[in-house]
Amino acid sequence: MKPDHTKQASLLAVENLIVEFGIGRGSKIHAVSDVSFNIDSGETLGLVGESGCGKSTLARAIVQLQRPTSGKIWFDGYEITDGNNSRLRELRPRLQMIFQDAAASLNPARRVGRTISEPLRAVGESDRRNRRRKARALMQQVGLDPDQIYDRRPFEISIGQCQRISIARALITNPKLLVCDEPVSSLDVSVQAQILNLLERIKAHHELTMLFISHDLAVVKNICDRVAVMYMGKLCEIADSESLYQRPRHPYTAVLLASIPEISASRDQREIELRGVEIPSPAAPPSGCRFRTRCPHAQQRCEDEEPVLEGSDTGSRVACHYPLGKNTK
Amino acid sequence: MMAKRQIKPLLAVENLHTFVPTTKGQVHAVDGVSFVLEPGKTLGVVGESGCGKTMTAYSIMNLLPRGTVISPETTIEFLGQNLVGLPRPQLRRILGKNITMIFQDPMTSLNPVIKIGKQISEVLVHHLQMDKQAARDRATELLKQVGVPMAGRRFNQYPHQLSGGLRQRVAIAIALACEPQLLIADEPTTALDVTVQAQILDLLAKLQEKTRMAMMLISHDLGVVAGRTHETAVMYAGKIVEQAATDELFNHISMPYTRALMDAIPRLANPPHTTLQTIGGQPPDLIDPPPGCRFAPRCTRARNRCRQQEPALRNIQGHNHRFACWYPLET
Repeated sequence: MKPDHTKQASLLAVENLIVEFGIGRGSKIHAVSDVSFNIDSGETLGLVGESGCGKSTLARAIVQLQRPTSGKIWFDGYEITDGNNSRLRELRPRLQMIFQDAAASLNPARRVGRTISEPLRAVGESDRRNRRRKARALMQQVGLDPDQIYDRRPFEISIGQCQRISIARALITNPKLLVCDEPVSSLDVSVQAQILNLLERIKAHHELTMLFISHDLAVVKNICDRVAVMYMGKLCEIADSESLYQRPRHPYTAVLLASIPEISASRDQREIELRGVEIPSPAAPPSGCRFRTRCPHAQQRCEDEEPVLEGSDTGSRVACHYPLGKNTK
Repeated sequence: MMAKRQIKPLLAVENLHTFVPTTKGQVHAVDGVSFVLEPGKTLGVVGESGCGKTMTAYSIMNLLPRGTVISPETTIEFLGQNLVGLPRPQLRRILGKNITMIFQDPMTSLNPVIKIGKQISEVLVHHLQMDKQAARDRATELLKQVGVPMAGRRFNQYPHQLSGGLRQRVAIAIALACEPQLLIADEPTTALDVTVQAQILDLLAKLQEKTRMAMMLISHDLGVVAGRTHETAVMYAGKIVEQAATDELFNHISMPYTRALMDAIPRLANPPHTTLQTIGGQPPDLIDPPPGCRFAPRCTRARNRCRQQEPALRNIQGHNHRFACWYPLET
């Protein structure tokens, strides 16, 4: 059982991943359609897109909460989608996830200290005192006072504290990859800032690699090295944060950026061009480019031919026949 | 900023105190809030969860939870008529007609078992005594006006058959059905995606321009408020702590809380891995709030006076920029 060395440069490699859900009468929701990308060790990759674009499904497929319809995922050099359950069990502690609704992702009847230490039982730490000691240490790392919080239940603490608890629980098995699915979306800005800073701190401390999912582009820009944009189950564009935000190449990325309400003087100058109000049904995605029904630049070719995610030398990739900024010199 | 004109205010809230009963005691959710709103103007109300912004709106709309008390010295005057203590039948003629509201979650604010067309037309039948056919035509027209495609077909659909953005458009159509003079929008786009958010806010602005209705836009998102309002009020712990014309406020922030809130927001201009400013501590307990300035325990500039004496919301040098702080930031 040797790791595949071709995939070793990246901690996580996703290849042609497809996740579909049957919704009866033979129709299917195409939640994730042929998605491929890598995350390098130590990198934070952002994943942005609107509700229903498949970003959460993709995250769940990566941590194996959701079995993909087809496609492969390599983690740390091993393929985890080959059905080898004993190896998956070995790798799983290294692959952790935190969720949007922190309070709901904790067991309401269980004291939070126990919630944090519980995963240690699953990885074979049989000494209760050891588990307790580690949980207390992690609580401190995430900025909670174990003497005050350890024996509380989720409803007795604030939502920000709940998110800290779920971060501590995710960290206790020494993960390499932390998947964060909208970890700050339900928080107030002041608490959001605390949690974002905390994630940056623990990332450095635990040498983590992160997949950070959010619908908030400004949040993603602040925490990620690279950003992938998803629309209707497909990746539209993937590029390093700075260039994606400065020179979006996919029209959808440009629309997303223009839609952000920013507190700045030049704000109202940005025109949002978008045809059509509605996102097409994911059960019957449009032919060709899936964004074409709303794209202001769509042409006949976009309907006939599906654009593939193509790379440039700088490492950014875009799936568009007529990417922006090509003719501007 | 506009010179002082004598426009009769549409809405004048004076000294609003709202007490919400809980098992632990009475929460002073809104504590002495006063503001006026003129026709055609938009007031933005920002603040974090629990600061009292929604309770302020509910106090105006008479939607308070059971047992909630509004202080007898409060007046909420709409076109000169005090709504506090007004008998229910009279209130009903104003609320839902002249003053309407849209809510954060369009799934729960619509009735899931009634077709959307009916939900719009029943407002017209009730408030404007339209006959069924006229109400139906007007409802279809309203759906078109708020940008619902294929309005005729949508008329007979149920809320669950519509996307979140469309549902919010339906809620807006209901709110606008009787051409209200005041629309209260409580986090109208928080549950929606950014592209849809921009469309909905544009739509509200367009409709407002047409009808000169006044709007109260409640949001936790300073970006939304900054771009869409004439005036902004920042709330903290049940009180307005800073209020001014929106441009003035964001350009000359005086209250340390407003500054701290602004600095906590991740900006697009920041390079990746920027450490964000945070606000230490937690908002005060509103059952038994501490003396002095409510923000003092979390404020980096707080001095002794802040902890003992509560600063009133004051106006300096006729700037029409009000703030409640003993040691305001230099601007």
